[in-house]
Amino acid sequence: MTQKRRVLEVLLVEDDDRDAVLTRRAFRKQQDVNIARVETGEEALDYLLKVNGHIRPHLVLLDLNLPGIDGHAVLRRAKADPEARRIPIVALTSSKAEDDVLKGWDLQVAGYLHKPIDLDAFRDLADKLVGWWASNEFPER
Amino acid sequence: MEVALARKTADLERTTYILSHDLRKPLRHIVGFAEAFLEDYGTLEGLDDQGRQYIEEMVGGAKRMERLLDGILQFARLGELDESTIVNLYSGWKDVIDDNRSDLDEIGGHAHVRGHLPKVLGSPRLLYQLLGNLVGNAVKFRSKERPLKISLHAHTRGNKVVVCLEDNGVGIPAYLRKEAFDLFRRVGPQAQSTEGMGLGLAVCRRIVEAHGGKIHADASPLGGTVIKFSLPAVYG
Repeated sequence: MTQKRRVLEVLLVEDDDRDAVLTRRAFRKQQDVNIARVETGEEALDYLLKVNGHIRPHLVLLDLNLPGIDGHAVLRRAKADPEARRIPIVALTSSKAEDDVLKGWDLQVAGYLHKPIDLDAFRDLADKLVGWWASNEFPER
Repeated sequence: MEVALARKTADLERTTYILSHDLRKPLRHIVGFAEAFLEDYGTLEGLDDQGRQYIEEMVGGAKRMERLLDGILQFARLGELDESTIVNLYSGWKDVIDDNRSDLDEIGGHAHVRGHLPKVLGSPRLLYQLLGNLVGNAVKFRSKERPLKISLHAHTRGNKVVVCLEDNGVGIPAYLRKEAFDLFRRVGPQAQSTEGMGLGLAVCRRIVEAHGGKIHADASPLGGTVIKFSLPAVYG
């Protein structure tokens, strides 16, 4: 069963407060998007694996460089779970290092985005991202 | 010795990673929050045009720094040959000229090949970038007094092919020809006004050296610069 979404529930996994502020700002004018933020890989997995009654997001924006369980580990664990693997996880990262890009795609990211340095560019990216994902059908959460 | 070298290489790789990731983050914060400040408080009383300009200068500086970081990263990634096959220099050259056709037409520039171009051994991707950077430089540093002429020729010497790319541009003064190939060195007489950050020739040197060759600049009989570089020849 799939159904059309009115509000796109996004989980932002970002350990840096300043980056979280800027990311929220980039998405600010997007309507019908709800961003919940967690700071660690552990918390992200709680959402993805539905631990402690958390509800799964439609889409995850994942910073790869996290303390503790890092972004790659989150991807590995999520993709090993028969239900969590269906949730698209888009890497949103500072890293242009080739290894990170390869590793991300190997771990089945649904996209690999580089955080733009410029706010307008970030807003453009948010616009495209929401435009694309809001037009998708998602499994029931 | 080998252990020390391995550690040095690992350190260098780590440095590159830091450049590509860790240094970018504070830079993004500088730009992001300065822009957010201008958006939210840019029209407040007390912040006049000059105040706004000061902040825009900060943003501009941070963005230039990001381009420098990208440049370092691009340079660092050129360390080794990803592939080595027989490369037809002539078709590589034609691709480069075709891709620069609109620029050349716009400025009335002319590119031609003198004589036969021997085949070489190398990475088609890197050699394309090499020729592309050199043609780009010729366009960038053309003379305002005469229409641009670019001339390419090559000959085999022993197990090397020596390639010469001449132009009739503004040239590089003799005392700067060596350092022109250093990273972030801008030596053109128009260095202040011409875009770019002194990456082009450093990348060329890196590519030629990855092919086991050498590159240098000299005065061209055409009145500008000649860039000479060597690449591995194909036997048989």
